[in-house]
Amino acid sequence: MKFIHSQKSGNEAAASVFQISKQEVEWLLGVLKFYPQLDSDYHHITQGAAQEIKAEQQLLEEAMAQRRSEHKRKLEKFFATPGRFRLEAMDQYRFTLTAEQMEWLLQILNDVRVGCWVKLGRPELEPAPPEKLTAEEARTLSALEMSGFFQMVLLGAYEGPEPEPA
Amino acid sequence: MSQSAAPTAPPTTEKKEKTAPRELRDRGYVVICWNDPVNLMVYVTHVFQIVFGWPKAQAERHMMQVHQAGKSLLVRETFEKAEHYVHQLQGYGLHATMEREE
Repeated sequence: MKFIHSQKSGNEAAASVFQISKQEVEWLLGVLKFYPQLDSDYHHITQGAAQEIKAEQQLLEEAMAQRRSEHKRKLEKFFATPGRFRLEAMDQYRFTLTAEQMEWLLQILNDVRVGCWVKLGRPELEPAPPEKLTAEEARTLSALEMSGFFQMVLLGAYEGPEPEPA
Repeated sequence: MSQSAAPTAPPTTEKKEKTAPRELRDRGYVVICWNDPVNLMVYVTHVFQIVFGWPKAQAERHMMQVHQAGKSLLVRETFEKAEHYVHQLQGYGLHATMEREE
């Protein structure tokens, strides 16, 4: 998957156009099936005296739960749209994201990434992720790595297209 | 980065009178982002730009501080604004909290 160009239509903010292979479409949809991964109790409003602001902690958890619910609805609607991936050449598709869609997709992918990391027991990932894994853990690590890959591609769109190789 | 979504506006201070005593709200609060091994550096930079409307250099400076020092103090704010920023940052999956400034 790679960023191709931005396109502007009327007064709307520029949208980003990506090229994605058939295999990558399957990976992307596979990763997104992991959403949501993070539980509401992952979020803490403070590391200080939490009892002073118990109501705010509850508010944060509710806000995060509501956000996840909205994102899930957006995600389902987005990928249910016919022609979302437009066939361009053999096994190559194009799809377009508005700036707003980029932001919620980044948040969703990061939820999967962070949630998988929590599920794996919050391991160090550098210089290398854990090696001895069960099949389930390997699947979780794969989703973690894959969500990071798609995040990097989306973020690359803010930097502009990659230069063509000489 | 300027073509991305606009920075999120903090709420007015009238909100949530009922949940926090005035003495707490009037004190200074700091928003801190803590290091973790999972959030991508380029992603953290992007989030700081979006949430605070910072230029890339400033966002990168704070991101590097998180990475190298383990945390970065992002802003000093009122209770309500600090809470708003924590919600935004945590919505992006960053490990951010608000602490009362001593």
